[in-house]
Amino acid sequence: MCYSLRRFLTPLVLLTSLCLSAAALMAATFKEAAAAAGDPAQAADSWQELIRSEGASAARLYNLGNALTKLGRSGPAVLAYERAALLDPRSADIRNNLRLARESAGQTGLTSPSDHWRHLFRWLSLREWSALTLTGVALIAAASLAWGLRGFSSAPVRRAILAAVGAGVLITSLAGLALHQRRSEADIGILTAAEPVLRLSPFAEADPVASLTAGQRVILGQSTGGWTWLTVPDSEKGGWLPDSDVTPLIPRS
Amino acid sequence: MVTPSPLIPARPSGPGVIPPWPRPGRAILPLLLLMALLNGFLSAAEVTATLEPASIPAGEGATLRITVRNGNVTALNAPEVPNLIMQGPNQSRQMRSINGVTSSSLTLSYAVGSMTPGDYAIPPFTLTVDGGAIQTQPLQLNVTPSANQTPQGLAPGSTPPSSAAASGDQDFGFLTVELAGNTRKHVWVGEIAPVRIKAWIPGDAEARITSGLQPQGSSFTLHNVSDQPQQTVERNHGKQWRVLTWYGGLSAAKAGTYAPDLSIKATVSIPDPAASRGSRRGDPIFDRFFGRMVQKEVVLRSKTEADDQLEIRALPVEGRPDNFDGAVGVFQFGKTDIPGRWQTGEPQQISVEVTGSGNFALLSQPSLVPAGVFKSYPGQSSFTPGDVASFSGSTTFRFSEVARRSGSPGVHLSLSFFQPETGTYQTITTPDRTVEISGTDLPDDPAPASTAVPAAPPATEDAMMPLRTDDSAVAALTPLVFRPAFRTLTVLGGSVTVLGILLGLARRRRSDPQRRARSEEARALQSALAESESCAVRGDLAGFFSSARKALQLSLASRWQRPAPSITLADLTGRLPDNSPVLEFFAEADRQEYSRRDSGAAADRLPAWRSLLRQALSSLPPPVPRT
Repeated sequence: MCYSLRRFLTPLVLLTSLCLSAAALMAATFKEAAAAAGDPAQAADSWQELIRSEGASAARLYNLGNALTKLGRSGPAVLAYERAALLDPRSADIRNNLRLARESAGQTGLTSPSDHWRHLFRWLSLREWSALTLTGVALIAAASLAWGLRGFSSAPVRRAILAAVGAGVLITSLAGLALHQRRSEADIGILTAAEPVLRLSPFAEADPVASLTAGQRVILGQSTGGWTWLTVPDSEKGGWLPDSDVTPLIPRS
Repeated sequence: MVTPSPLIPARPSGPGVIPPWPRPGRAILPLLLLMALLNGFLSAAEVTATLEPASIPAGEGATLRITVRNGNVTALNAPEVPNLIMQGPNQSRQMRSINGVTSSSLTLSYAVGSMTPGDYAIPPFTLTVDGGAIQTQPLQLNVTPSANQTPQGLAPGSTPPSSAAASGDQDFGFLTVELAGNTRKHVWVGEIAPVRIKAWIPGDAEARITSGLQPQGSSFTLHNVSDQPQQTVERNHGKQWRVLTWYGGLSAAKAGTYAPDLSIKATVSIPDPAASRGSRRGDPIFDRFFGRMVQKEVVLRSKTEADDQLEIRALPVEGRPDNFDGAVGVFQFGKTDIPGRWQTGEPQQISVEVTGSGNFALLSQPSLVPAGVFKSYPGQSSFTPGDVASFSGSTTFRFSEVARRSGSPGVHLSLSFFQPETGTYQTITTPDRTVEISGTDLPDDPAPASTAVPAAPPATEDAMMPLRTDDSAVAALTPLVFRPAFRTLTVLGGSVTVLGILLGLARRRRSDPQRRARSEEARALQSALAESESCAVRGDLAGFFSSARKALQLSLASRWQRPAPSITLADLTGRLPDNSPVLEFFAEADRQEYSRRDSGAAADRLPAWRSLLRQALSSLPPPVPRT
């Protein structure tokens, strides 16, 4: 038995060391980027490079938004904050700075969701709702399999299976409803250009339809030849914009 | 009597004869088909490309037209040819209706030419029309050496000079920034200095503004720039310029001396100053479009001389009123609405208009004096600009106040601001008004009413939450729900659920007592019948009758819901008809069982007994489901 334990001990120690080293390295890289806060341009580059190379986190996106706000780049700042809010919707800091970034970009009249259900559905991130949905499905599947194999062999087993099914149905229903309500977020884009202009046709020389605001939320449509059709929520405005002027809130694979 | 004409045959008639169609109706169907075909032909999208002329001197341009009929263009891919310059497209649309058939056409025009003589093959243009890709035909352009003087520095076959080499950026235009109506050389922090911004474009140039006005550096902030610039033509240093004028405000956030420079991006096309001009058709519009034009993406900048830099002064601390919140400008009260009757504890709405000029963004809600008698709550404000730059205007504040002390005090509204012209603070008040406050005094708040005078709206950076110093968990920006794995896992979970349900149903079915009993009975019956057949084959008469009797008892037991061994001949006699084959066989089986007669004689009749057994079993009614 000692021999078997030794066989796994070395790789386990190595793996743990690697993980700790990676975590330390990531923490060091985060600290380096944070140290450049005094120079917004350098800070923005550092956060963008960190996100590009090691992935996004709410803190990294939030700090990137701060740097971009100081640089006066409202559109990309709003995008960074919006993405940070996707990952951490309960952060008051992110909500506050997002509001300020929108106001500095000239957006007014934005209101929070008006009813309790929408508040509830936005309390958790899409990632969390997805995990809840899968958890509910797993509970129902496990309870079903247990009943199929063993049946209600005893009262405690019966209670446990019924409780699992009940909890699974409740969780899956609520999470599924939340995901259904928020399914349109896959089509949301954020205007990153300083002065985006909607055009009638997908040509630079086409007649302008409307001037929009940096950081504004839009609904993305079809893309063709480097242009994207988009519509402005709660309005009849729609038109074409170069792909470089708008970025999907949720990156498309 | 009318004799039928021989030219018009008599119409056949009689039963079974189908009369032919009337003569006019025979022409309708082909005509309809022809119209449908014609309409279809006319409705189909068609694209043509033409180039006129096909041969031009270097430095001149030909017109390439792409005409799209009866189709909607959603994308256009223009080919690139080395040394070939293409300007455009310009669009024009035409609708035509002929004999009720409507057709539309879109024409895209390019000016095409080159500074380098040679033969150019223009590849097809690719257009997306009504969702489908259509290509034009390829075209040929012949560029001959120019008979006129070549542009400076351009030898035959060489590439055209770059815009930077041909002319400095200044030739494409410039920007000027003037402080409007201000004789001072200094401004104060927070003061919005009205400015007039002019973009000067050469009179013979084509320009397209491609960005908004941007301050150079971070010293100044631009406010309320007019949306559309005024366009005029002015002469400057003997040259005609097209001038675009914006009005706005500049404010500085920190003290110091800075140059109030701005920039704006534009695409400017100017005539090549070193080349002579001439179009074979003498079309000045065409010349302007392409007639040795030099185009460049430029940044028009203003340039402030060192002597003209602006000094930004910090607001003085000395003499600053307590209720000063950062407003800089000149303001006065307008319409004011203060209720005359109050009840302690009951909120009342106050409306006050403040007019003037200055930084309205820093203007905060006036305070109701005496402050100790009232508690103020933040309200709303609405701004109405008085000019295109929103430098002057009026703000109306609407907010609530709650009276805390009863009495008949004289009240007024108070507002403090910094007047930039005099460099001093000023406090203005509305006329005193006596109000009646009834009710009991409210107890004092434990903390001072710090919200009585709401703070001025903080600058964006001041209100921002600070940097996060600790990282959070790294996560993919694309949530799991939008990835294929989510659907896969959900389907897997559903499949496991269905499997579990099916397993459960199967298990319940197996453990059903009635079903189990029926299965056992069926097995026992099959076993007895198999035994009886085996005995019959062997000639074992006693064994045959014994096992056959058992089979009959088992069959009757499932029908009568009685134990099989308890079923006797007496039971059968009472319940079955006299001629029942079951009764006959059972009686014989009993005789064989109890009398042990000589089996030799009865063995000959074994086949008959087997047949009787089958009859007996088939004569039994279907079993009744157990309760």
